[in-house]
Amino acid sequence: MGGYQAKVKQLKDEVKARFVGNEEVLDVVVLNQLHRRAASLIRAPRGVGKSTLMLLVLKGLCGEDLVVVSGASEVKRGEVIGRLHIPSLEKDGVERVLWAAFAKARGKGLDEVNRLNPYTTANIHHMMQFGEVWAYGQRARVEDYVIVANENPGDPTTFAHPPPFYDRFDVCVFLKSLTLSEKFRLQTLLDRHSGNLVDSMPQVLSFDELQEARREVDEVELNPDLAGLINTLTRDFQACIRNKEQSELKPPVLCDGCHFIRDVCGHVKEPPSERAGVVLTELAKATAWLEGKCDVDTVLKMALWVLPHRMSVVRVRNLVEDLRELLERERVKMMDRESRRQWPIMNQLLKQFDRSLYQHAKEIAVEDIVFAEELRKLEVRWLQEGKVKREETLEAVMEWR
Amino acid sequence: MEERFKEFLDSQVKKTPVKVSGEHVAWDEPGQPLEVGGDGVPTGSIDVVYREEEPVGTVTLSKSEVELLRRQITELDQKLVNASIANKVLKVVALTLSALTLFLIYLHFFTA
Repeated sequence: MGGYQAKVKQLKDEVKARFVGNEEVLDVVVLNQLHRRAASLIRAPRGVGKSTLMLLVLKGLCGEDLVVVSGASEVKRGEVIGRLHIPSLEKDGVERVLWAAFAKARGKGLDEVNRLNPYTTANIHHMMQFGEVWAYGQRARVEDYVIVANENPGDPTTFAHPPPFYDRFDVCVFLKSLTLSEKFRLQTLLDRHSGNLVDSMPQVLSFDELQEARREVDEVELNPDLAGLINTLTRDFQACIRNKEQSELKPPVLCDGCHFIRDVCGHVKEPPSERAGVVLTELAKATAWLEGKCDVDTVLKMALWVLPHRMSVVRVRNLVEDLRELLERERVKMMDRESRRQWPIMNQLLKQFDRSLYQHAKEIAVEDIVFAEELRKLEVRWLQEGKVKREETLEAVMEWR
Repeated sequence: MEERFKEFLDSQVKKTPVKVSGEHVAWDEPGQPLEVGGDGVPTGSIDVVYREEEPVGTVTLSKSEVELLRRQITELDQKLVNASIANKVLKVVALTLSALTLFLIYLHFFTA
């Protein structure tokens, strides 16, 4: 194992030594730090430890080079982005901007992010989107960073931040309250660290080391199988024969009478953005780099934390459990795809048109909307080449417009 | 075509190869070798059911094909139940209308 892998594992151990329970969540949060401008969101009810986890991760990676902005206190633009240097303006008439410590710090914490005012949120959103901050007509580049945010969605003072803002967070993890034995462990830890878990947290990696690790992860080549799994999974949550993305009607109303109503797509109200696939790829590469391998199960487990804040489901009862159920269905769907040999059949059809194979592919398309989309693209080509007639295409058979 | 998509398809071909022979698409299920017919073509295909072909030797269905058949049988069962309910309702309606007709005939011819 390389030096940086060992350090990242040490970071995980140090966090786990101070944070009780939610192990699966800790693994994802640490993995998510292994790409540029990592942003993690922690959601939990009050008092479950979301701020503690945020500070532990930030301290472990950035030491003292961290600034936390809290939505619970009054935050002004000057404290987050920058303010005017008054003496320069008064003496020389020059608008000089003093950039805020938050913009310059490597470690950026956003406590109670749903209570930040919309103006502060807009500035932070811009920083996350473009890697820069603006104040008084001046711009400053923001170097690589780590953002860890937390919120309690049930908080009555919540501001409804726009979905694109949440989409900028790579992962969104949910913390659960502690089981009985975990509560005993927490008491032991609090005694050991004199009641302050965060102060005892060492900086495990310097930021330069973290950046070097991020460069190594970036160079990892993901195998085509996993890349295919990630893209198919993302597409499964997006695809809609009735184009829900641009439809005024949304599921379940939109799905009335649809052939695919029982499919995963019928349970997704607002589909995830392309960023879901990008983030899953980053996480899969990080896993391969850190553990030496990444398999289907790992990707599906990680998807649970990549999807919840960038999509909505129909008839939500418990978002995480609903998503877990949908991902389990995805696992079965992937196995079905394999047993149907649909991608090798698609490969054969891409090489050359074969009528009997086309008929077989159409039968598969009736079972799988993602496959159907690709087959439709081929049909367009075959129509132009006169190999198929319009009335026999999927568009005609399934009334797909 | 996008190179990475092609790489993905190639990886799937390596993982789960198929044999295309004439109108047949066939593959070997791990641990379940397919019966081979007289013309050397494996006979495990759902075409036997859908195209009303004569089965030769053993017919092997994949899990998804079994699922497909099971689902269609369930749907057919449901349709059968619906049809038998409709049948019963129509019988009652027909009997009622017949009785009504007879009653009206009786009123018309025998009570004048």
